[in-house]
Amino acid sequence: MNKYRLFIVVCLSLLLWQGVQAQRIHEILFCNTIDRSIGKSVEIDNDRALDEIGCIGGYIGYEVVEHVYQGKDCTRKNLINLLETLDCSNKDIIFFYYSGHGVHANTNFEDKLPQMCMNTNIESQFVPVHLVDEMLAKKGPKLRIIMTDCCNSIDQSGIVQAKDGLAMERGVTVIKSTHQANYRKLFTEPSGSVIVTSSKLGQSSIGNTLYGGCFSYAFWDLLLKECSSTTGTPTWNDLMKKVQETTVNIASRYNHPQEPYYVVNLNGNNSSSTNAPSYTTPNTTEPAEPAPDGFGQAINQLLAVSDMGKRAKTASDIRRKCFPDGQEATVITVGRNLKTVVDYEDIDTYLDRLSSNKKIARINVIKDKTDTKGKRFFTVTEMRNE
Amino acid sequence: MTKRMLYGFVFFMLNILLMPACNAQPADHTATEASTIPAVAIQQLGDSLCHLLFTADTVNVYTLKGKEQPDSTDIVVSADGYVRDTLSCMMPVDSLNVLRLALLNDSNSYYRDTTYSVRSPYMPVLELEFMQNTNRASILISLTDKTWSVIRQGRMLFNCTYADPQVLERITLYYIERLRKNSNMQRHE
Repeated sequence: MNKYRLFIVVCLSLLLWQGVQAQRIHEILFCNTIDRSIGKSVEIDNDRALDEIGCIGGYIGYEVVEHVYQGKDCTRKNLINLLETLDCSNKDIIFFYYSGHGVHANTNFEDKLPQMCMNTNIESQFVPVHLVDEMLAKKGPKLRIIMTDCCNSIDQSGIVQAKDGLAMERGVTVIKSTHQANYRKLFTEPSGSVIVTSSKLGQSSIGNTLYGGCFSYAFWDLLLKECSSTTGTPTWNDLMKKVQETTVNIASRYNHPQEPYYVVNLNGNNSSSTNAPSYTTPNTTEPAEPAPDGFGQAINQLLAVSDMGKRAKTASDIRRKCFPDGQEATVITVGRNLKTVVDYEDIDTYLDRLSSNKKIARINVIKDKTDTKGKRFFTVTEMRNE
Repeated sequence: MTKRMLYGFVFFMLNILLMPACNAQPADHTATEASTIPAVAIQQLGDSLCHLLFTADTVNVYTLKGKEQPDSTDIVVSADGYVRDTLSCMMPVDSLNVLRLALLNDSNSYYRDTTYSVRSPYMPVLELEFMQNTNRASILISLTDKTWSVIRQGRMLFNCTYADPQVLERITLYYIERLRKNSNMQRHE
């Protein structure tokens, strides 16, 4: 009898633990920011993805778990290792984003997706996008989004200049209830997968040092527009069609053929821009990998504390732990366009402000740099409640 | 008219007659080459490198391969791990002329639009080694990003998009295919 009781208690505990466990967005970024020809434009993509995925987490109330690999860390080894050890529940969202060089083998035209070159031009180190999809599917998340901004062939030429909504977002991000509902509609309600790559088989992708990748810019800009709309409800299919049209239009201004390719497979409905990839995606679950630690995570934990007295104590703990021996630091807050500087504060002033302001909902740390004297400089964006 | 005056007159007339003929003679070889080298090539590559690329008549063709960790037996031609795979052949003069016409003589081959970049990797597959006495330099062709580079003593001196992709692809694929056929024949023997 005692055994049965024990069994019931264990089952109940497991159920409760599942319920208590926060829903998370696993933000997986691999960006080749050190490439001599495209590194600077990829850096813009990296920063924008960091901010926008952070904002999505803020809108839908999910914890954002960052797995950011850029420059020398953007390698096949790190990617495979992460995909093998990623700990994910069936309530979580995985958002995979790659920006860099891409290429397609001339022998396998069944697979419409490119191979990511990571940070090398040695062929053996490339990773096919379909492999990432297969490995992420095994983790069994509720929704997986796989987005790559890279070439899909050996064809190329062209230029991009996108100057739409996102460029005008000079201030901090305000969480409006309509926006929140739209983001939730896209990210928390559907289950399945969205795979999108910046150009279809046989085409190349372009970008510049002003706006980053043409496709990435169109995607983030349209996501913001769709989720800011008060007239309709966004869907992944509509969003993908618009991203496709916009990318084609921008690229055609420069006589460059670039048409994104996507496969949306949500709630059992499959649709794609052309034929879906031929491979099949298995569905099982697997675990393991600790969440990254650092300043970004610490300040978002601070914002989660509702008692203002406790916040002040947490702030001084952050000061002590993240900046030992009185290490100097400056925080530069930028607008959602990642260009307009909203505020420029030393770390103490910044932490004081965070401790006393209840409107700030989330901070996205975009850059963390240290100068030769050991002083740290953080570039952040802010999300505020309405 | 004295005899001396007559000689003077004949000499003067001969000079007048010979002058147009002298002017009509072709200039020397170097002067001809110099006149066909685009100014932008000299500006980008310098005199001596241009002279080598435009006048060398011995050009070895090698196929290249990327290697994660080149070993001591490898001849590394590019700092990012590309090594010589196989010597294909010496480039025949007519092919060399086509290459010079389609690549080196076209001033568009030296122009790169820096306002955008294409997200295809640089993967050189063919090396053309230009030799003249002890002077050597190589042109590497990368089909994936459609660029050509000039390498000298292991240093990349120049990299740019080539102006005529069709011709460059045909030349490159011709030598790669040729090498494949040769290696297949050797396997059958």
